[in-house]
Amino acid sequence: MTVESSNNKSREEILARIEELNSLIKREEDVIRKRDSNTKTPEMSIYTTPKAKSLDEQLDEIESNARTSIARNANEMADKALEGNQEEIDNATLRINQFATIKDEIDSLKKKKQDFIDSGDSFDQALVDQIDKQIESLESLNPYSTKKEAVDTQDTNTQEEKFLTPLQVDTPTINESYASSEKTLNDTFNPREKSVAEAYEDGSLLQKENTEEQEVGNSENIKSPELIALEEARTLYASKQKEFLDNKRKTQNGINKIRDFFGLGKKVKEQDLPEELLSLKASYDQKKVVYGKSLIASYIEEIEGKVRNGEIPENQKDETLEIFMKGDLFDEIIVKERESLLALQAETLPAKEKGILNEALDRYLKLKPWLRTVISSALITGAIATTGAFTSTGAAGAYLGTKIARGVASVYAGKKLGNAADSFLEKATSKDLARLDDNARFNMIDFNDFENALNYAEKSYNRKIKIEQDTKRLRIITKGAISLMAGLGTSEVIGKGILPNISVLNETTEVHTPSPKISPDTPVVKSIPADSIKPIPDTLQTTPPPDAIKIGDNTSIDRPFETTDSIAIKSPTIESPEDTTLIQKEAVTTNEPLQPKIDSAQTAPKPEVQSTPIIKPLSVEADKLGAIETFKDLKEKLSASYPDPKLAPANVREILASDPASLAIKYGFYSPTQNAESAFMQEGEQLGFDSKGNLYFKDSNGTVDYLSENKGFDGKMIDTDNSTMSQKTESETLPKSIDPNKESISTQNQEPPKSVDPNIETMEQIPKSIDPNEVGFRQNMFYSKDPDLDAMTPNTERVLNTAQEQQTPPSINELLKSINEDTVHSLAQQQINKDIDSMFQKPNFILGGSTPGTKTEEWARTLSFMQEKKLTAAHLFEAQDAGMLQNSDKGEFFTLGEYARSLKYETGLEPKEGELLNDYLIRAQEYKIKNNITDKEMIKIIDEADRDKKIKISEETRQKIRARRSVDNDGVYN
Amino acid sequence: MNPLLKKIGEEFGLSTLPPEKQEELLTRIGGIIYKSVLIRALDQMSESEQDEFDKLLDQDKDPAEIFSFLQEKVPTIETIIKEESDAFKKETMDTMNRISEE
Repeated sequence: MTVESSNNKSREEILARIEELNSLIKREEDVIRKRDSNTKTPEMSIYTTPKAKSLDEQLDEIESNARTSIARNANEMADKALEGNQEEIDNATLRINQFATIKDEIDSLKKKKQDFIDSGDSFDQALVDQIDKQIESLESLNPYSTKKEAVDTQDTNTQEEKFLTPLQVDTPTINESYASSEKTLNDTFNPREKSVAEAYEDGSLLQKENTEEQEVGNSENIKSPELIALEEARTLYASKQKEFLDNKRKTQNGINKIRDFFGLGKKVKEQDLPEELLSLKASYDQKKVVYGKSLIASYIEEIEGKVRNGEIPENQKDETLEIFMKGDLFDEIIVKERESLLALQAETLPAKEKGILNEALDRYLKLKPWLRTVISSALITGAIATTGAFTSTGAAGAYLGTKIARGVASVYAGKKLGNAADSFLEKATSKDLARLDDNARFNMIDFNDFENALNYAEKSYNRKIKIEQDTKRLRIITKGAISLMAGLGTSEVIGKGILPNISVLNETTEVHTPSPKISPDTPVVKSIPADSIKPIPDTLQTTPPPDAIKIGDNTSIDRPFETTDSIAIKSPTIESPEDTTLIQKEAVTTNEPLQPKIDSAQTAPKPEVQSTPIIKPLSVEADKLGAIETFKDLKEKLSASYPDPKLAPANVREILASDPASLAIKYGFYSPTQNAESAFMQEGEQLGFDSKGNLYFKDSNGTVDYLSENKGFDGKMIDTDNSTMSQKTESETLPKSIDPNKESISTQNQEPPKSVDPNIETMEQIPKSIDPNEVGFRQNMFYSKDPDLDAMTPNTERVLNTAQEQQTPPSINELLKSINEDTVHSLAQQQINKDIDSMFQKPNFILGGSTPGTKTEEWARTLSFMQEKKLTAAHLFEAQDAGMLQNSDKGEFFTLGEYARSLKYETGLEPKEGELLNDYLIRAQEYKIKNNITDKEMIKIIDEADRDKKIKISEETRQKIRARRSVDNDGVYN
Repeated sequence: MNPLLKKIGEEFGLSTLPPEKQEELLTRIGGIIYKSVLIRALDQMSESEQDEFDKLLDQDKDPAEIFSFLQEKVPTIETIIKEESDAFKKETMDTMNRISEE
């Protein structure tokens, strides 16, 4: 018998066996079915496969089912296990991290101790004892210390043996759920910590704080007298404060207890506090100052030492000290001290409140980083209080939300770009990454509300992470320069007002007013913070042509490069809706928008209001059931918001008093006599009133149209019966005072709509044939549901959904070419002034950064020198090459030189013979504008310089370039 | 840099620090103010409201819901936030001013 025939026989036997089994199972199934018709199991179905299947097919199927079953079970088990153990995993991670940190500290102390001992007989025993105590206190913080004592009593004697490793401890000791990444925050918010009172009683808190402070404040790990004094003062103050509050509790009832001290209304004024407490507080404050000064003094000594050793150039001493003051000193004296004191104050709370507080803080710390950043910022700026950033509705909320979301988006867009720039991903992934990166630069103003923006940011971020994981690109890319570029986000050239056709939308803009026209002679205000821009009155004068720098003019000291026309920018007129759309898309990315002259005739209609109307901005989302339902929703919301309709603005009262169907007709959402009778609306679009009481409709692109009797919905109308959709034309303007019951209305509009876009039927979200009954629509609105992430990106791909927007927008270069010379000149002057302003504004040593609008005296001297000596660019560069440029009390020539040099490298322009420095700077800036040289280009130049070593750029120059770039980024010269 | 950190940088002079440090300090300062606010807010809640708040936290609700709850139960929450924010800034200003004095 051959192997083959043997196999065939085996197959036949197996097939026969399967047949037999199937028969058996079938019989069993019949029995079972009779007993219970619903008991067929998946396993049974395996054996009831059609006989026609081959053995291989059946075996494959069996295997496949088995694998599916195993995988399903495994997944379920894994999910269940993970769910049940997640907290445990977190706890273990935290403990290990804590252990590692503490162990490092102890090892360091032991080494220090050994060094002391090795130094000979002269070592200070007191210091060694102090180190021992610190080691002991650190050991008490070992997260595995519960077992430690038990082990201690058994067989360990030395400190090394007492300090257990994670592997020596098999069970968690305390319910601790901090994520490991929050390690730096644990010192204050760790709910696992002993209570502060307990910690103070046994001294461990003090010792722990000492350790923390020594990390920054005392590199020798030995407390300075100032620090000891501060700790004592803090302890004493906190102790008396607690005593004071305890006494108040005893004398007061319930809810008024601590409120009198901490709370509002009855918040105890400082003068009402006991003299002793006030005195202790003053002493504590004073000790903070003394300790801060001591840290500065120590650091100055350190700097001097480094200068002597050549580690720090002499001219960087001040800068180094400033960085220390803003960073470590601020952390030590302000942040850590406040954290410590707050921990003590929390101890004054009853146990229950303390538990809730810890829980709340725990939640805060476990928030996703970007969300925590948003909330932190809102808290720090007090923005929640004034805007309701979380509540996400209303004009004020949108205002703050815009700022915050924009900032956060920028942060994460930066990180993403950094990743993308360094990744060599598959084509498809790269495309998706690029798309996400683009989308990530969203602005709150594009979204309906704050919540949507956050949702979008989160989804976008998560998808990005997933893609990175999929492509095994998990390492963190720290290409600062590239990320910095993305950080610019909203400040790229195109959004900076350098381009023509740019409208004004500042960060405070909640909704767009109807496309203001910008006349060619529209003046532009320069150097105005985006959030402070107000419409310029019509009376603003246009300015004369550019002129040379006015040497000798006092005012030119402050603005040496500003000619009298430097604020005049000639912007082309925006004429078409397409322009406006483009403008809006671009303008939302603008940090420093240009301000057009608003054509008052086109501003939002101003509703007639009562003498004392209460205006409450609110909106409703487009209702899936149609525009009439949307108006009904709006009415309901208005009714709830205006219990007394008399206090409502006039047009709100009108909505409240009118029938929803009439309103839909009146405002152009429903034209029953038209072929295209229903407004084409999408999920997320909004109908509402703004803070001025204007009725508006905001579409998915973020474009806001104000609605009035004369100007209704002007978006797409769709024929839900005949599948024709039209862009509503001017001729379709809604009739005034439409009575839906009168057949006579709009008879002149019976002809087919014009401007039908031939491409419209290719849009997949617009079905060719719409059966309202099937899709649940009413004939007053076509509702396009777009649930994917894309639906949350109003300014991305979906922008191109409409035919009019499918026109290819001009490229940056094309737009740049359209700028006239005067505009380029003015922009160049503006940019130079901005740079100079930033470089030479007075530093703010208290709060850091510098103070806008101020100038250093050194700059005034620098400028005077330039003017008096008629300094040429060539002379400056010669002096620079010879190393003769220095900052001194006579002027900041080094800084000026670095600025000029950075422009020279960016543009490659050599100074002309006899060309004054300021002329050269303007020429270079003009070149940059005309050639669209951005910071990105600059980075490229620097990188290439590094590679090729063709251009030698000193570190100082780099710093200055970065500093100047930071002016663009955060408005502060760093 | 982004407008957010710019704002914080202006207020607390963090702008020259590395971004990571800025974000860390930002989070910690936010935590300080959050804690200060909660200490006061909790004291203005009744026992049952505290229980409710506790449950809300247990359910891991999103920040918007938590803030809505605080707004509802502590009518002055927004003022408290503003006061605590201002208090922190003032203390920062006072202390750093005094430290910088000759």
